[in-house]
Amino acid sequence: MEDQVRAAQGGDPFAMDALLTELAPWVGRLCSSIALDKGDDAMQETFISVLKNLPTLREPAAFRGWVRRIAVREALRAATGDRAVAVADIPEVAVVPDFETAVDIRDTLTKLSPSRRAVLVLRYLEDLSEHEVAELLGTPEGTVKSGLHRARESFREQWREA
Amino acid sequence: MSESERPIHVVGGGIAGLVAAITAAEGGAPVVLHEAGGRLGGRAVGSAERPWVNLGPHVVFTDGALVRWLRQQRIDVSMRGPMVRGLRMLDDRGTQFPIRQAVQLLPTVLRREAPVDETFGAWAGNAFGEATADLLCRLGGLITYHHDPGALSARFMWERYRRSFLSADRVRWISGGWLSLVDALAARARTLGVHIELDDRVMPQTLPDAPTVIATKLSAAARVLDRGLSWPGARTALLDVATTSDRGWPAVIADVRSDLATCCMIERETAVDPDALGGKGGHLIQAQLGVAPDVGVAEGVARIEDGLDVGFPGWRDAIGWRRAQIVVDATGAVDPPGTTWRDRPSVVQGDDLFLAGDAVAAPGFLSEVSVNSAVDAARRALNARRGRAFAPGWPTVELTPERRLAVLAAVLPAASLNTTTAASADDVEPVDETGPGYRVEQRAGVTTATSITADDGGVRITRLASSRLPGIARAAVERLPVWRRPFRR
Repeated sequence: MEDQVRAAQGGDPFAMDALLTELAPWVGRLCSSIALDKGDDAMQETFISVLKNLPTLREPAAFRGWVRRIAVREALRAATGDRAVAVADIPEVAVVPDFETAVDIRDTLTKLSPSRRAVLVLRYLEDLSEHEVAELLGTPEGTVKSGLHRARESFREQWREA
Repeated sequence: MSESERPIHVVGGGIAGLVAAITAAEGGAPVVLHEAGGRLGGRAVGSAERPWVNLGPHVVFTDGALVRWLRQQRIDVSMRGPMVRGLRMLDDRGTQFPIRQAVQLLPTVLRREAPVDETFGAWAGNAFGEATADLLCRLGGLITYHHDPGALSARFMWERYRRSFLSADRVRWISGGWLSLVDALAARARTLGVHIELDDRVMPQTLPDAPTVIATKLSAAARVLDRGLSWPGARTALLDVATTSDRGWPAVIADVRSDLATCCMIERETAVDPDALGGKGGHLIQAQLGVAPDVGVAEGVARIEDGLDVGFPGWRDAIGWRRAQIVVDATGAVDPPGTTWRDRPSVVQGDDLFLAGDAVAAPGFLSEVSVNSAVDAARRALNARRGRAFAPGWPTVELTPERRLAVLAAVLPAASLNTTTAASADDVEPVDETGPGYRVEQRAGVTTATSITADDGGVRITRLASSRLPGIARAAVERLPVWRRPFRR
């Protein structure tokens, strides 16, 4: 992977193409989980941004983290860029899906705001710590923590009621 | 087990299985290859006692998928040929140089296309007249191993005819038999860390829950996958004879006498490859004849021997050993009228299971179908494995070939995109061996990329071109935006 990154930095179209193949399943899932229906646009913008800015990446070893940051940014932009539905209008149903058994994670995700989706994706799909999530999204760690906590609580309640 | 250690499985250790295993291992996946028998090679290897003696005549084409793939992989397999001398035609008038036939067939080269829906016999009759069509149908036996090539799809036959008869200089024999090819592939697979399990028969209940390439005969794949998978193939009588002397025999005889609807091919392998008998001296003659379902071994082999009596006088007195058999579905798929390779059992079988082999949906000629389908299946298995590495159940989206081109167009220098449509994927030059799909190329500083996507019964073709102009030209181009600036306002 690092060799491919270096070759792509040098403008090798085959290396660029190989990077797209390598990254597509991962980036596709990140973008789609946060931007939902706009996931394909978000993925396209992510890859354009990644390849354009590749020469500025100093350390190829940091490639994945760098790509993740760009993907989350582009997914949030795609999800919130369309202001037809204001973010505030999306009901904040604080539900954390049971990722082991949930039949329709997508259905659950649609009930959350894009930024809340990003928190869940980074914490549960990407397995980042609360500190890393806060750092990546540029929000206070306490906000991430309380959001996730509230979500878990209310999920447990719903589970008991059901 | 972490995701990065989860292997891709390949079932079957023949040419298709080995090519799939190498492709998957090169793609970065750990690979486990399960071979039901005690040795690798499948039908590419002869009997246990004489593994270097191929099951019947085998050739490769230097412009075909197998040789190209070997070159790409830098796998060195020594080849002999082409056969320039010693070709004889045996027709109702006797054995002769094929000059009359060459003159008769010459005008046919002007026909490039043949229809899918007609039989080869009917189409060739209309196009070239009865006598030439008759000869063409019989010669079809050389390239299909089938008892009635005239009954197959005209397009199927014509593509193969044009490729083999018009480029006879591209024919090669693998030195030392296909055993050397199998050994070279197995060595590469082991170098890449492929874990090879012999005597390991995969059953439906032991099918791994992982991306898996099934590279067996269709009948075995049908048992493993527990579903109907079949396609017409050929039934072929094979006679292999080792003789102690050669008595000045020709190298190849094509027996096209009019009692046959096909051709009996008799090849003296040692005329091209002295190592064909494992370097043990003597001469190896291999013959094949496509036979109808009701013809038994004795009858089929008797007809082959009749050709040998005429073309190889004295052969019966020089026999060292002989092997006679009938093989079924051992020589690749044949496409009946109304079908193309796209109608054969699909590479994609669902649930991350993929088919490879010489009778599945991939283009090419005989073993090339195995190589093309194996590369396709292994790439798809790699993609499936990458997909599985990320929590299933979460929403995801695929990078379509067209979006991929849009990304490259946005980042490559001076890139342009244009889209056209065509009625059928058969009408455009395929982007790779599998037709629809995606390809990137670079020639003389110009990068091109093509995607072909199915679209409303037809296909949509998107092409990208990008060029990095050198030196002064580039400097001039780079100044263009300065000049243009006033116009933008």
